[in-house]
Amino acid sequence: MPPNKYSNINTLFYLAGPNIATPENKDLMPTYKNLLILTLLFSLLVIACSILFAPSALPWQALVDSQHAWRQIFVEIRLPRTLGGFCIGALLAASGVLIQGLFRNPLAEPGVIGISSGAALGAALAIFTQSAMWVLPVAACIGAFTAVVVLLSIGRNLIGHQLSQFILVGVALNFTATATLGLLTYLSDERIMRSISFWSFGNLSAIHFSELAILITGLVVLCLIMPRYLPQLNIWLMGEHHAKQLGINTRRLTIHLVLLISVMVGLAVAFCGVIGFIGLLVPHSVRAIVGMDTNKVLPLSMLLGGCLVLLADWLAQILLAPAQLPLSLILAIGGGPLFILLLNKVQKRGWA
Amino acid sequence: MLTTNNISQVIKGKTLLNPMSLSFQTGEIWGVVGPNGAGKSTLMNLLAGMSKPSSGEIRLNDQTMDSIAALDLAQQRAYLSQQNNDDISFSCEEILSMAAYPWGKAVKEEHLQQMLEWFELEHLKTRPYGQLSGGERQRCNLARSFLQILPNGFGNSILLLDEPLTGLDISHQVRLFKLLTELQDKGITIIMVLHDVNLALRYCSHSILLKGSQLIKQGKVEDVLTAKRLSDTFETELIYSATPTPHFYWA
Repeated sequence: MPPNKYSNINTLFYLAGPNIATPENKDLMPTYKNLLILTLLFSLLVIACSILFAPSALPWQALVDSQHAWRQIFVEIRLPRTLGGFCIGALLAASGVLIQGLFRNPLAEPGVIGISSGAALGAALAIFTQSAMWVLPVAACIGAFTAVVVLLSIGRNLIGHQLSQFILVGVALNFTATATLGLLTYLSDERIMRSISFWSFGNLSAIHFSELAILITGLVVLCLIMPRYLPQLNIWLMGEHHAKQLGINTRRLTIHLVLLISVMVGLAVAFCGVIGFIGLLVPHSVRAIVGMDTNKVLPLSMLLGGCLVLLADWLAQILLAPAQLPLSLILAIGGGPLFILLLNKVQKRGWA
Repeated sequence: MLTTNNISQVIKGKTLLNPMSLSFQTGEIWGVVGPNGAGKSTLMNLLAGMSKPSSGEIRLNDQTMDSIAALDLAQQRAYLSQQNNDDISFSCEEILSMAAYPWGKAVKEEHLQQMLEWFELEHLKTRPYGQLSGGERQRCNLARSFLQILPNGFGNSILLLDEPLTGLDISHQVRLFKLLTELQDKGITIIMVLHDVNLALRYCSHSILLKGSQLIKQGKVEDVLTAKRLSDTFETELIYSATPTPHFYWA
């Protein structure tokens, strides 16, 4: 029998395969369903705490008694701020999952690759031209949309292959959008300038009832639409070729994902400015526990993203009270180092 | 069942495949053989309906390839290409269950078990793909290709495999070919790119020999892969020597 060039190497591989001991910790790991219920309960707890204690204790009677002295604070400040913050966190985390999926890049994050800045620029333009209130979220969505489309067209051949080079394209886009935003600030009068600069840091204080209504409507609609894309997104993650082979209309999927992402990032940025790293921190932590399946990663990420924003907002309010720190600052302290860690890992091993 | 009429592929002025007409019938196992860069993968891409030919047309079960909806096509043929994303952390089981996508319902547990058994993946099913060895990954990919057309009972379906042996050890190579020969009777058509001429002679019924984007010869495997023609095509002297007892390697 002539020697086969594959045999030696692959027999070795094969022998190594089953012998590599993996800890059989499957029984100890909570099932996905339990994990989801647990996270849901945790989220409710965080929301309740945020309403009652952030930043100072609210007498519980205010929740039921419409004549209570704290009633107004509860209804007009705490409730919209908490629920709005939760929605924004959920939107940003979900957008992180979808963006990482669309670009097949575990490092992609709306704040890092310039999609949030694009949305902020759109929002700033709406303020600059002093348009009506409803124009703001629309302009932010259009800004985000433009950024994603630019990324898709410039970084097309880097998608899924050259992970860090693609991020550099995004960072360059981020610079451009941020610089344009700066230019706009420079050109505007002081009143407009103040409201524009609000967008570059991230702050939940501007969320009132009308904003909350838009956020909740948007989130509910997105939650209804998204599930049908998740199986396709999973397959898309395996590679464009494989997706096509399995009969997925990859072009249509791409367009729909771009639209979903634009609306998510646009809504989040329109009402609280640019908050970075949620879309990176949360999906990665979730993936480490439940694996890569988007059907599981997305719901968990949305809940935890909401919680994370509320926790960060609490810190932002108490650290230098009575002054309020920008949310983005708090999150960047945790997010920056994590990004560097991930960059290192991804360059070596990709998603795995 | 699958026929091509003068298909060619020219991309950006570069000819990847010169016009060729081929016909594949039910139950045949085709081996596509040729030197590197001969156009084997281009041909496979065309046959799988992944790209449109620059000229000519492909017909699958009396329908033109263009007129078949993407999902219908995915139910009729599975294509294992060489373009596989390696740095993913889906578990082997998750990857297999994706094969049910064209059928619009979850994968049947018995089908999944059958594939795990056929490709000896049972002990690897929860392991992330990125942590598998090359051969294990290939077995996982093969299993998902089979699973994709399994709901047909393999009848009237086409399996396109681009270098299916990559990374497989001898025992799994033999296992795969035994499996393919067993499926032959169920009405499956198999077309695969092979680099091992010996295995092609042993297990394929038909063969296509390509060189420099050109069809050299097609037909019954013993007529196509002759020592003379192979020597000329690969510019390497090859001798045919039958071993007295047919073994795995005998050409």
